[in-house]
Formats: sequence, C-alpha cells, structure tokens
Amino acid sequence: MSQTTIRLSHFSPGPILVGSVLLLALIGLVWTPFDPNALDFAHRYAPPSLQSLFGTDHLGRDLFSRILIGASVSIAVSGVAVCCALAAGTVLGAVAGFYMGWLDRGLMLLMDAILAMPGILLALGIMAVTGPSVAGMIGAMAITFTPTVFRVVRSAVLSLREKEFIEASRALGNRNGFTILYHVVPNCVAPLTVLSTALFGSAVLTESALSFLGLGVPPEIPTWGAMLSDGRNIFAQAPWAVIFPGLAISYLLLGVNLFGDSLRDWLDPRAAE
Amino acid sequence: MTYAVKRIFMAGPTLLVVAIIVFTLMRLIPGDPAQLLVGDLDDAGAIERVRREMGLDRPLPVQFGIWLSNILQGDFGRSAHSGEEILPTLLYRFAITAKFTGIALLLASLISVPIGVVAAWRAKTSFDYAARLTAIILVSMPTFWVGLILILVFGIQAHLLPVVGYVSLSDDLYKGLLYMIMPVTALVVGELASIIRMSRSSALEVLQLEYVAHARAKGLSERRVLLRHVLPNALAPTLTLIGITLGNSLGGAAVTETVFSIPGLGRYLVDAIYARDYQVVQACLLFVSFIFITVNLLVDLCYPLLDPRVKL
Amino acid sequence: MNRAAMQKTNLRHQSDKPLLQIADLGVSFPGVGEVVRDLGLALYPGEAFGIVGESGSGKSMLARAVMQLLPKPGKITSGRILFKGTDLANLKPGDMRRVRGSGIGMVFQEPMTSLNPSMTIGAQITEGLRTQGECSRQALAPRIHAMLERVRIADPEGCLKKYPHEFSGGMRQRILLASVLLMQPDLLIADEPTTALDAVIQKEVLEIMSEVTRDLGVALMLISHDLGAVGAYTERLMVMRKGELVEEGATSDILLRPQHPYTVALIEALPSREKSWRRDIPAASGPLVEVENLRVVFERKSFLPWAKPTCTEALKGVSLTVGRSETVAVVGESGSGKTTLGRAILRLIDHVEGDIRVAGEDVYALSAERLLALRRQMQIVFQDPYSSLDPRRRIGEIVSEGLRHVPDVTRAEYRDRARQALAEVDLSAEYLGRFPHQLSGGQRQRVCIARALIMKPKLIVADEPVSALDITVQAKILELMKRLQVDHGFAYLFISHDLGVVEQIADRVIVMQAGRIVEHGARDMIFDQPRHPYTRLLLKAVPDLHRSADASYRIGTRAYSQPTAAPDGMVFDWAEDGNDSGGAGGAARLIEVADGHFVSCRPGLAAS
Repeated sequence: MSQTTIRLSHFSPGPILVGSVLLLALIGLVWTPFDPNALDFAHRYAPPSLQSLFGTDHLGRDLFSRILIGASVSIAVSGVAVCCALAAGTVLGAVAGFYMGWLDRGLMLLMDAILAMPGILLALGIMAVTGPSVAGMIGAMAITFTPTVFRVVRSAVLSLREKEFIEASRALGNRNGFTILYHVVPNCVAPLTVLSTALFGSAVLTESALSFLGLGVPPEIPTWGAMLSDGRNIFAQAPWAVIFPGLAISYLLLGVNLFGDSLRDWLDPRAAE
Repeated sequence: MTYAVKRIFMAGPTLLVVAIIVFTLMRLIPGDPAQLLVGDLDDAGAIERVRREMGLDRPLPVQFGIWLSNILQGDFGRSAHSGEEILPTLLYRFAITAKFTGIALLLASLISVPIGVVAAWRAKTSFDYAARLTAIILVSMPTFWVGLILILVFGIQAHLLPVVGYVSLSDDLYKGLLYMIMPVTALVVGELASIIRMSRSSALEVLQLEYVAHARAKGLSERRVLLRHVLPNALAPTLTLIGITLGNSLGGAAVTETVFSIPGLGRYLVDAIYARDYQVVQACLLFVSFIFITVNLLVDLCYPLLDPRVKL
Repeated sequence: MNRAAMQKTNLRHQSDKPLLQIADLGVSFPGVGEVVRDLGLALYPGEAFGIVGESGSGKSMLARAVMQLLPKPGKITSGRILFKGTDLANLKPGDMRRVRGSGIGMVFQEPMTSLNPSMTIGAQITEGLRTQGECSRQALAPRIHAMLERVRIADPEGCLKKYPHEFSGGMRQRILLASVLLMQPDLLIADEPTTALDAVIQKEVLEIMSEVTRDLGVALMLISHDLGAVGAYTERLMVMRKGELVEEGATSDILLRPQHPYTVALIEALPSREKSWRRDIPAASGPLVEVENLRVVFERKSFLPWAKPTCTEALKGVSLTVGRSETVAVVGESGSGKTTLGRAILRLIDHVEGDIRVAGEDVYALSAERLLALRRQMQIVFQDPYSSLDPRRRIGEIVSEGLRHVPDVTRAEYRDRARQALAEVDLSAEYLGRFPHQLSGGQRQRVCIARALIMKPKLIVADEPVSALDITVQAKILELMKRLQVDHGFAYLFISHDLGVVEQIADRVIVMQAGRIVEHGARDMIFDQPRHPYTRLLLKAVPDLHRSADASYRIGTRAYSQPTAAPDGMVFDWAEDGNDSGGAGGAARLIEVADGHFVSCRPGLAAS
C-alpha cells in the first residue's frame, strides 16, 4: 500500500470523526466527570446542563460519563470481533480459493448457510446460547462476519489465480505457499481494509441492537445500546437519555462510513494513475 | 443444466446445513428443556416422561432426523412455554412482520433506485453529492434509534401519531395505517442508503459502457437513454441487494418490533429467548432463514428477465 | 494513387463544399490538459477519410467531440465544428440530438458492449428510427430487412428477435453498422470498429463498411491505430499525435512520400520481412523443445457431483520442435489453442496427454527439484503488461524474484543482478524502486523481459508480447528482443495473431487452427508459398505494406494464385467455407510438401 499517496483532494472528515471517538474512549478509560455507575437520586432526570453535559437518567447517573465508558466498550467489542472474523475468514478463504476441490465446496456450503441467516438473527441465536456476556457477544459477531470475509478473500484469490503475474511466479519455480504469501495476500489487503471498516460499522450496530434487547453485553456494563434500552423506559421524563446515546452511535458510524468511503477511493486501482 | 434448476438444487443443501446449525445451536443452550417444561425441579418422574415424549433420550442425530422430518410435514412442535402449536402462531406473526418489511422495502426501492440512477447520471454535481451525503448520514443511524426518535417527536411531543402498538389493517384500515407510519418510516430510512449507493454505482458502471454512447449517438433523448438503456441494466445487481436487504430487515425486525411493540415474528423470537422457549427459537430461526433463502432464490430466478444473457 | 485519381480529388475539393469542417478545435480535460489542440480538417460528402494515431493521440476524443459525446469532464475549449454549415460545438442538446443518428452516425470499438444486452436487436434498431418520426412497423420492416441483408446477415427476420449475446463479435459490428446506416446519416464515424476482432473478421467488416458507405454515398471517417487498415480503405488520411495534426493528405501520397518525421517513423515501425534478423543458428545439437502428440482437455465440472464434466479439447494432438536459438512463431486466431500450447510447455497447465521434452527431459514427469532446475531454463513473457506484474511489488523485487531459486546467488547480489537485467532492457537503475503502475506499457514489457532474462533461460515463450503496444513501441520491443537473442542465444516460441510481426521475427512458422497445426515450415515458405487454404485466408486478410526499391511504401493485399492443390491423393482438411470435405474419412495428418514444409491433409476420395 506504500504507493498509495494521500492526496488532499481525497480529504475526508471520516478519520477525524473516528479519531475523536477513539480519543474520548481513551479518556473515558482513565477519567470521567462522574462515576458512571454512581447513583444520585437527588439529581434524577436532570436535563443537560453545564455540570452534566448530557443530563442524568432515572437513577441520577451522569449520561456523559456513561457514554464515555460505553465508547470504549463498543469499540473494543466490535474491534475484537472484526479482527477475529478477519483472521478466520482470511485463512479459510485463502485456503478454499487456492486449493479448490471438495474442501472449497464444503466451506462454501457452510459459509452460504451462515450467510443465509440474517446477521442479527444468527447473533441473537448465539446469544441465546451464551446468555449476555462480552465473550459471547464477540464470538457471535465473529461467527456472523466470518462468511463475508471468507467470500471476499476467496473471490479475490480466485481472480488473482487467473492473473498472469501468478503464472509468472509459477514459471519462476515458486511454490504455492510462497506465491500466496508474496503475491496473493498483499493484493487482498486493499479489499480487506475496505471490508473491515464496513464490518466494524455493522459490528457497532449489532452490538448496540443486541444490548438494546438486553441480549448483548451484560446490563451492568454501560454500553450505548443498553443505555438506549434504559432510556426507552424514561422517554417522557428524560428524552435526552434516548437522544444522546443514539447520537453517539450515529456519530461513530458516520465517521466509520466516511472513512470507509475515502479508503475505497484511495485503494481503488482505477483511481491510481 | 439450466440456470433455474441449478439455483434450486443449490438451495437444498444450504437449507439442510442451516437446519443443522440451528439444531446444534439450540442443543448447546445450557439447561434441560424437559426440566424447563415441567417447571417442578423435584419431580424426576415427570421430567423423565417429558424427556421421553420429546425424544430427548435418543442420540442427537436421531433427534435431528425426527425434528427435520416433523418440520417437513409441517409440524414445528409445541411451545415449551404455552404448550401451543408453534406453526399457526409463527405464520400469524410472520404475516404481520411481512406486511411491515414488505411495504417498507417497496417504498425504499421506489424512492432510492431513481435517486441512485439520477445521481449517477449527474455524477459529481451537487445533486450527486447531496444524495451521497444523505445516504451516508441515513445509513449511520441505527434503525431502532430512528424509531425511538420518531416516537419521541411525533408521538410524545406532537401527539400526531399513536406511540406504540399494532392494529390489523383488516380490523380498521385507517387506524391500522396510522400505526404503520412510524415503523415503516424507520425501516425505509435504514434501507434507503444502501439501495441508493448500489443503484448509483451500478448505473455509473453502465453509463460508461459503449451501448449508452451508442444510444446517444442514435439521437435518443436522455430520458429514453436512462429509462431503456441504463435503468434495466443497472437494476439487476440492485435487485440482488434488495433481496439481501429484505433478509436483513426480517432479522432486524426483532429490534424494530420491540421498539414499536408490534406482535410480529421478531418479537415472538425475542420473547421466546427471554423465556428460554427453545422450540420456538429454533422454529423462528429456521423459518426466517427459509424465507431469506427463498427470497434470494426468487431474485435469482427473476434475473434472466433483466439480463437475457442469463438463461433460465 | 495515380495522377488521374489525384486530379479527381483536387477537383472535388474545389467544387464541393465540405460536409464537415473543423477549425482550431481544442478539447481539454480538467487536471489532464488539452487532449486535442488547434485541430482542423475538412471532410467532403461521400469520401472515405482516415484518422491514424497511437494511444493518446486524441483521435477518439476528436470523434466524440464531433458528436458532443465527450466523457465527463471533457470540454470543447475552442474552435468550430461545422457540419453542413451548423456549428456543432455550440449547439443546444436538443438540436444536437437531431444531428446525431440522422446527420452523423457512429460505430464504436467494443463489439461486446456496444449493444444493449437487455434489448432485442429489433428493438434497438427501431428505437433509433422512431426518433426520425417513422413509427409504423410495416413501413420500417422492409427497410430494415434490406439493410441487414446488405451487411450480409443471413437471417434478417430471426436476427431481430434475438439478443446481442447470441451473436459473435463480427456479427454484432455488422448489426451495429446496419442500425446506424438505416438512419441515413451523411457521415459515419467508425472509431476503431474492428480492433477487437480477428484479422479475417476484421477484413470482412471493413470491406462491408467501405462498400455499403460507398454505395449509399455516406462519408466515412475511419479512426484507427492501424495504418494498414486505414490506408487500405480510405482516400484521404490524417495522422495525429498528442492531440495535434501531424500530416494530412491523400492516402497514397502519405504512404508513398510521408513528409513529417513522425509519419515516417510510424511507417518504418511497421513490421516487415526486410527487418528480420538473420543470424547464425549454431549447428544442430538436438532440438531444445520436442512436443509430441500433445493433447489438452479442459474439464468444466458440473455443480452436480455425479454429472459428467463438460470437456473442451484445446489441443488435439500437436507435435513440434524448437531448435536451440531458433525463433518459432505460432500463429492462429483466438481459440486456436496457441496460448495453451505455450502454457503446456512450461507446465503451467496441470494435466496434459502426450510428451513434452525440454532439453531432453520430460517436463511432466520431473521431480519437484528437477522441475525447478528446468524452470530456470524456460521463461515466459505475457501479452498484457498490466496484469503480468504484481501491482504491489517494486520493479526491483519483481525482476529479482526468480533468483531465490538460483543457487549461489546471495541476497546482497539481488540488486546488482536486477540492475544488470534492467540495463539489458535499456531501463536505468532508478526504475528499481518504482511500482508497475508508474511505468508505461512498453516499459512494463521491458520489465517482463528482464524478469525472464535474469534466469538466463534457454527458451522464452513470448505470448503475444507486443500485441497490446503502440506500433512505435512495438517496433522498439521487437528490436530489443532481437538484440537479446543475438547476445544470449536463447530460443523463442513466439505466439502471435499478428502475421506482420511474425513475418519479421520468425525463422519457422506454425499455423494453428482449432487446436491443431494446419501448416508449418520455414518463414519464407509459409509467406510466399502457403499451401493450406486456411493459411492463405489468414494471409489475405492482412494488408501488406512494403517498401519498394525507390524507398516509397505501398499497401496491397497479398495476392496468391488460384487455390493450390493438395498433395497427390489427398484433400485439405479445411475449406474456406469452413466445411471439411472429410475426404475418404481418414484422419488428418501433416504431409511434407517441400523440404521442412508440412501441410495438414486427409486421404482423398478414391474416385477423385
């Protein structure tokens, strides 16, 4: 990717949005204005103010502090899940694409079957097995996303197989293993980078949706989805309890999507001169 | 071997593997289903009897075989919770979900395909940028949050629309429609973005092909070029995406229906998970996957209508 | 052209008003710059006018500017395009639409994408005519029928109900031509109309195009990179380079006495036998490559595990030899199996039947280690310089990649060796750190050659190595390949569809058709006395441009005498109508008709 020059014309606010969320998440790990779990019944349903930026909920907990903590949870859970899916999908996809045959058919069948179950539904099913837990959440999303990675890698490998520089590599006497590592994998990096931003976006969405249903991360951990679930019950009294967690999710997703778009533009071979 | 037969043949094994996955998943749930059903922890005899009745004492592959053959005969078993037969409830609930997702998807497609094609036609103009920016903002908002905000604004603040609940269209058409407005809007907002992007990028690709230049060189009007030459050819990949979107919104129904308290399939599933009613959970998972696979199959079978190069 | 004809042209210039007159035309793309500069031309009613240029010459942009079909964000920045007195450059879109189709018709390059795949041929033909206000099917049907017959479509009625994918490339171009000419334009612009087609089909389409436009009195603007094709079918031509007019005049004048140095270079770059390299081939010490009865069958597995795979026989028993330091050219159209042959010799295909021996060793029976050792001796250069280099590796890495398998070369030496190899292909060391996309097509092809060269091979399989290149670049690469062979003494198996190139470089020529060899022999034998009807068809399809004794150039088609007779008692296994008479039903085999000259025949019927 080193030949990818970042041109000013490709400037996108995406990285700034994502960066700011990352920064806030890091800050949230070491410092929050209030203890995110401290109950303060004197200040229940406090509207947003200078003291409590995003207001408080029905237990008087400071929403801004909880959103800061929630950021690190959402990002960590989604990030780890996407990394697991990338690792599993890349290995399986590369093997299936390069060796073809029965192994490929079997894997394709399995992956098609997983893809045939709508993503959130499969994650729900897995969460039904594990019960609300961070590890379960990560596992559920990793399994849900693996087939997508698998398909992208497999088709990239299949199209690369036909490329003449792969044939040239064979003509030079290189073994398959070397050819995969030296030529195939580096050429999969671009599509995988774009894909992983998209997957990260859907991971954040899935995580918040499942936590909203109370089937994701355990309720004692403040995540954006769980906060929305709480906020839904105190809608009339404290609309800010619904507005801000959702804005946080949308802000992060907007950043991720813009980032993914600009990545696609940079890495698109047609964009290169 | 023709395309249609091939596609139908390929759906079979996929469904079988889905069934295996769903079955395995449900057997992994901690806890003894028979015990849950009996409820009384001490009555060992009753538990043993239920276990035998449900076939839980047989080896797993046999259990799977029995389960599958029952399903193929239309018997999805009974709810461990209420003891009701699952299938009638499942179908009733699905009819509700299908109404919402179907209408939403239809609206979303009707709105976004023209926007996408025009954005591609006017690429790099302000219309294009506006369409893309709107799309990216819309896709960044979680559907269930959009739903909550709609409730907040139109229900709680403005009192324009009923907040939550469901009235069947056949019972009261006006009220039924009124109750549909917000859920459908939330779904449409979520689906617009991806369809706009897909139809835009496929139209952009078609616009660069020589037959479009040829159509223009024949002196055809831009309207005709777009309607006869660009749209049909850009529609084929978009149709595939619409099929996938339908599956996703069926999955997402679990969340949307919770927000709006709609007694659809998604809510049925979530309630079953809360109640550890795994017979219902596996029936729901399998059923939705079946619908998803069927929809994708139908989309693929429609493909040759749009692209005669693919033969039925 | 003779004097009388020239006078005629001049006369017309004085009497007629030009149909299309372009003056001071400038076309530019923001960020790229001007692609057409200060261009002027005049085209007269009914004449055939050619525009020749290499890639980047702006010839296609010129055509698209006339039609106002410039790809975004291209713009006409200056000048006038007068068509029958109206300036097209400033025409409103609505008025321009009336000129398109009815005034000026256009045929595009890519037959695979120039017709809409989702509409029937009939619908696409009639929709254009409808814009001219003729709507009744009854009125249109006979006209369409007549025009399709004119472009030699066998079944006009059936054709209308079919979709484009049901036709071959050549048929599609003819249908396109018919649909454009049906609108009765005054001018037809054909932008590289036959570049994607095989030579024989190419000739057919160009002949039909030139004949029908002449009959209908439609002026033709033929745009091509191929000087031979344009020269053979036009009366006047114009040479363009980097957006500018280089030379314009009567076709015969330009070919006979090119004035501008670039035109001279363009003509001199055309391959010809005069430029062939004569060198001493070392006395035979046994052939380097021996291929015997090679059969390659590609199986496409059905998705059903129990169904039989569908088989395509790419090679049907091919035998050949390549001597050391010899250049053997394999010629054939697409689908002839020539590429498969090259791949099979390098063991890039997994399963073959028959024997392939290189340097005496059976390529398909070698152990992994011996194969590795043998692989160093045979290398390949591909056609497409874009997909044959890994886009994510630097040139230095690409060139030195093969050294991993050369014993006694340390990593430290890689760079030096790569630099030497680049120097041999005339690229300086500064290219070592660059990426393929920073290089031009010709430079990439040099890198491919360097990658092969660094292994010090005895055989280089060159699969269409110059087909994707501009004519002047092609000439330089051919020159380079010649020099390297003289220096290093390796053999080439040169696979090409381009008979001109083959005539220049080959010692021996193998003509392939549908997976078998139809004729092979020494280069002069094949080009001067072709025996097989298929070889003759191929040769006749290529315009022959050669230098006369007085240093002028002439274009002609190769004329051969009446069909040659097959050897005694035999019949040819192929006839020009595509039918195989079958002879007495015996298997076709290669018969030696002269010293080292073989032709594929079958035993003849006993009666005849």
